[in-house]
Amino acid sequence: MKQITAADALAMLSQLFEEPVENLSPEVLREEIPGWDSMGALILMAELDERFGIELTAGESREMVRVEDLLNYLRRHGALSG
Amino acid sequence: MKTKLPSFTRTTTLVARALGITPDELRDSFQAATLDHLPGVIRLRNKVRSAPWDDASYLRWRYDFEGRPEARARLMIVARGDRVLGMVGANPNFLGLITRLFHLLPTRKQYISPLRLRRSLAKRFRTGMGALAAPVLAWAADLGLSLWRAAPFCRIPSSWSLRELTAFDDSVEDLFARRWGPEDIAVQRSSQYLNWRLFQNPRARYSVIAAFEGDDMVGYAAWQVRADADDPKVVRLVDWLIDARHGFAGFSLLAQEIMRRALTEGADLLSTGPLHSRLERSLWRLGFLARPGSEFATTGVHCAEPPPWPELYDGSAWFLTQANSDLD
Repeated sequence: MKQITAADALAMLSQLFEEPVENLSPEVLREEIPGWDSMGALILMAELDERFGIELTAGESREMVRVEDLLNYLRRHGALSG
Repeated sequence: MKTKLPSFTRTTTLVARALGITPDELRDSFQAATLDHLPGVIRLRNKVRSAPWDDASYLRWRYDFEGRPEARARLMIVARGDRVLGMVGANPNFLGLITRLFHLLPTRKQYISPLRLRRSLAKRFRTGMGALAAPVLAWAADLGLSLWRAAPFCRIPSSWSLRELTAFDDSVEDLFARRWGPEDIAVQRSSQYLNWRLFQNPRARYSVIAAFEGDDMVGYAAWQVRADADDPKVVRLVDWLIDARHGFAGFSLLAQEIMRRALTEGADLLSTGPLHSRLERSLWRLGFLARPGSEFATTGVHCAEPPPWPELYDGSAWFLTQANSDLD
């Protein structure tokens, strides 16, 4: 699996959720990102599946409350370097 | 147009995975709902919604379960045996989907016209000097409102007869034919649609008055009284249409008639939420005040690019009233 950096991950989220990258940082809450709604979660699942072969479940998705949770998830699954 | 949605194939894979079935099983289970599925649909809807809201009579009014589309929407479901796993229908929670798939028309404003302020002032000033002064203030304010309403008062023309309707017939079709101009973009109306929307909903009662000249319907207006404990009693003006020959004057006459009836019923407020530049100008001229509307009351449009008429993306050309939505 090709690993990405935290900056790459934020750029990916910026594109998926249509949110300016400067608004995204680990401590930002999910509820502060309008595009991270139920459809946004589906889009994220599709992206992780396609890009890394990671099967993010609905339960795991629901438990994510901050950008940091997603970064940690990517790190645990070997998709994020550092 | 937004294009960031996953592909159909990928979405199928993800939804199938979430439901614990294969993509092929999901495709085979996707079908139009029938009456046999109704109990399963109710179970699913009540499980997903935080408060039980759906019942069989409402859902049978809202959706076509019997191959009789008429005005109803088709309900597509994912069902395995008698178990309904998912459904696609109309739901405000789909705003996220609508914003990604459609061009959004401007959010409809809410237009209100206060009829009397007694109840809202009493609610606002409940203690101290305010509570003592509220009845006097309310009396003066309500007197001012009634004088202001009387100022532009017009008499119903002697050639008109006003009738309360309990069903629409062909006379409204003739009105549609005369009324719609090439500059209007409207969701197709018919007597069948209006009868379904305004008279057959088991959850909501609407009143309709129509003005006739001889046998010709020259206009109609539909409204609903909503009264919740402690809240102002609101009359919602949900739909109206006036023959172009009578224009603003005709609308003004029907609106005044509804205000008169609303006051008789003890209403505090008249409200409406259309999307159409001419309709909205008429409301301004009648003294309605504009308020921001709910983002969930928006309408999305999807058409070929470039759009055949630029006005498709411009809310001012659309003729939409609350009869085009279902808030019941």
